[in-house]
Amino acid sequence: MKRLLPLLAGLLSACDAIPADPEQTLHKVQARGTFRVGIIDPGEEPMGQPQLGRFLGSVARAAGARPQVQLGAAEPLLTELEGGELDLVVGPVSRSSPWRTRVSPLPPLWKSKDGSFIEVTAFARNGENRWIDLLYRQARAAGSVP
Amino acid sequence: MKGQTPPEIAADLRRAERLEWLTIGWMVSVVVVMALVMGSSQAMRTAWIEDLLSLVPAIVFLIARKIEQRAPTERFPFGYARSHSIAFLISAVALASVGASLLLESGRTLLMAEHVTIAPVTLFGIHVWQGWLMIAALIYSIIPPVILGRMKQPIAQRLQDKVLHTDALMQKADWMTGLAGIAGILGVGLGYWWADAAAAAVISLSILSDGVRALRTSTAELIDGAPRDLEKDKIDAETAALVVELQRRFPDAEVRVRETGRVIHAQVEGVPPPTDVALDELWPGKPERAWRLAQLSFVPAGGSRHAEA
Repeated sequence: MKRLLPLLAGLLSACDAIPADPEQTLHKVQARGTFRVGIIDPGEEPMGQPQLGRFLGSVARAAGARPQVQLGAAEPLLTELEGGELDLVVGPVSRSSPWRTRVSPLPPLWKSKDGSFIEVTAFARNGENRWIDLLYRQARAAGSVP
Repeated sequence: MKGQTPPEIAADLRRAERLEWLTIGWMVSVVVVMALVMGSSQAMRTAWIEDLLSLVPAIVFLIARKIEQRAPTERFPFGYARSHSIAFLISAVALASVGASLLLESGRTLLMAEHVTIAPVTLFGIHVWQGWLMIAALIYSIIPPVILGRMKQPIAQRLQDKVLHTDALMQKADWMTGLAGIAGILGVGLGYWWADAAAAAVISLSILSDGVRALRTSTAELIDGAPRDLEKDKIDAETAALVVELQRRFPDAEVRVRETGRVIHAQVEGVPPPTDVALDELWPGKPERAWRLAQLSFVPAGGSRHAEA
């Protein structure tokens, strides 16, 4: 039993390391003290603003980092996210957008009720599973409150 | 007169049928569990498709068993024993497809450097990394193939049943894919995005090799090739011994053998047939395997337009 304890401790610590980020996104965010977020310009009708604000605040608290915000159109922001130049992109995106397979969508923060199938969603870079795990929890909490 | 099953193998055939029904039931449960946890993971989707394909050999075995027991008719005067050969071809295609799809999918993932996202899920208010659920599902998916494959192999050997043997190979493909999947998800979890695809690529080569070998043997059987060994692409040892024995008894004749399902049909050309033939006496191997020689036919000299060997 005594010989098993170090092995069990090793296994438990390995489990704690899972999931990890291949590109170390969460680690870099915490080291920098900031996370680079692109906000998609909502146009004339801002959608889901309270949820978005709540979400960014909770991410900042959970990660121990401040948001470094950049406004812009969806396409260039999502391209930068895919390339690793942003850590997070949030904003209104159609449910049928092809970007939903190129980057990882999180639980929606806000959904349209007028039949336009627009959702205010946060996106993370594919495969950064530890960062996605943190964002997922905050997105579910923020999106659950109207 | 129904299609006759040699009484020596009737019990093994019934056992094989029960195993195939168990395979279908158990693997359907695996398919359902995998569908529930696969999420957007392409690797899990590929494993799920492979589990679906793994049902093919079991299903075609049972269908072929039903058909081959039918009595000969005017339209099918030789009966339906060849339905087993068609089932073998279909099973071989399924096995090769599993290997090929796994290789293509893993190769694509590695070439495109796709980073797999495995997000958490919320179960009863608790956030759980979905990878743990996938690993649990994959562990469950390994258990039936390991047990069923080990049970099928000895029966396949005794029956010289290539469909059952291919099905056992498919079970081996299933558990190897499951193990590769577990290693891959743990690798992805540790930040090695390529782990899943790399493990799958290695496994796929073994599965594809088995599938291609099965395809070669099944097509050889359909074009009246000499009976092949179950495991290797070479003429079966019992067949080789039978040819030697028939050549010894009929030294001036040309001897040909072919396989129809589990049994062998031998043809002796160029000599008059003896007045009395006992198939069991002709069989050179173990007496309990004599059922394999199902027919000995004689063709008079000049009675065939076969090309000479």
